Amino acid sequence: MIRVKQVSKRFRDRLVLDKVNLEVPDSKVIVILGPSGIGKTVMLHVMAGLLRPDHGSVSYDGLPLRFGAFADNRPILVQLGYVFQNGALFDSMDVAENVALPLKENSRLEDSEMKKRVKRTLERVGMAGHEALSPHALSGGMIKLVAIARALVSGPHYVFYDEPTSGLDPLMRERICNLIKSLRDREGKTGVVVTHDLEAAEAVANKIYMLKDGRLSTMGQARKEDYEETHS
Amino acid sequence: MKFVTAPGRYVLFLAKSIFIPWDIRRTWPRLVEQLYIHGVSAFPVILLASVFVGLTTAVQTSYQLMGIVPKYFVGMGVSRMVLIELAPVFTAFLVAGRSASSMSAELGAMRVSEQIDALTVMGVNPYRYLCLPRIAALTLSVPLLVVVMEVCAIAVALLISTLALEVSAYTFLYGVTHFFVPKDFFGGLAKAVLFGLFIGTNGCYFGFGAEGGAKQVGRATTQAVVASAGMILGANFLMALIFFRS
Repeated sequence: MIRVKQVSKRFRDRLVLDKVNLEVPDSKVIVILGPSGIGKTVMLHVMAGLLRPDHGSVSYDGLPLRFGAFADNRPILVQLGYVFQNGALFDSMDVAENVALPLKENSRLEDSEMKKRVKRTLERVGMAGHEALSPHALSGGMIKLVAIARALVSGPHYVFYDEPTSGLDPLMRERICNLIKSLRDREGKTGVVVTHDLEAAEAVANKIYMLKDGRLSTMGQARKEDYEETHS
Repeated sequence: MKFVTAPGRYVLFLAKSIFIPWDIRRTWPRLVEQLYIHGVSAFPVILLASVFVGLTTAVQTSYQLMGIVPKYFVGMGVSRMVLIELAPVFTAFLVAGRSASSMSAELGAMRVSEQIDALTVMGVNPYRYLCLPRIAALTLSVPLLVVVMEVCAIAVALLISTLALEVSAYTFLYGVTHFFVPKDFFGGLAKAVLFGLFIGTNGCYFGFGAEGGAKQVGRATTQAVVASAGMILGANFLMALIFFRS
């Protein structure tokens, strides 16, 4: 279980997260919904240890994330897969090398075993046969799929998705939503999705939270209609 | 305030890049790659610069000394100037212009496209993965490039002195060898090691610090080169006080 406790984060005069509390149960997908620029990615960055909160703590199964110049969060991070909004693929590497990177750096697997795992993971996300392509040659949707493959290749327990469906056509959006659901239902992976896309949120979430004015609240029917009206 | 805290942040950055488990097995291939990019690939520009350093130094030394002191002083003047000052500083400036800029642009682009964050969340230390091989490669390759420039510049100076300045090869080489002091050579190398460390660290430091978009990456690139030039000149003076004070 991921536990976020009383987390606050301020950028200059703007309080982006205000004493936020959140619990993410195992094998569930929770969605943090909100319009662009509200602080969803900041929330995800704090949860992944990329940003140091001004106050509060984040823990994984009781193990706290550490923030400091020489903090080592590897025991937590090897259990975490993160899908960045723009994919964050390394343009100096091809698809297979991108997906293999976490294995290469964090495991002592033989090359042949690594290749097998990469192939299997790319097959799982529907990207088999694209191993030799450069990220420049991929479409936006394909980049997201490769980024998901890279996040999954080392078998993490938690997967974070930052705007996984933004800028995609309806077919690719559905494909990614189905993938997130199947990772939860078939493999028991815990997911945290941040998005401004209500339809996608409803498709994948066990629980939807709304981020507004730095506060997280669960989203009921009335607020859902209000959000739909404001952001449609 | 930023000006006051900057040196502390710089030292902390260097410490985070160096005082970490090196994991030689994984770092070695990236170090070799960086040695090629910043060392071997810099050979042509260093050789070209050495030719002109040798030509100009020989002509000017001869102009200043001819008729005042014996001709072998041309060899001495050229070699000591090249070993102590010209080769280390010229090489460092060329490498700073070439490598600090490319490193900060590359790492800056990686920063703004979240590739560095991606490494962090993979459990890969970005300082070990990206900075250590670059800083080590520059620290190793600048002294080697300095030696290349020294040899080439002195050889070219010998050639021009013999062909156009009426100083025989024997006389020139007598001046080079008779007044050779090992401290000149090793002092120049010590400078080169320090310059390489600065160039590598600046390239990584300003690249890592880039935020925003293309404009900030461009700014980081400029800062990396300007800071490298300033630090090279400052360190050059301090090293002169340490090694070459009479």
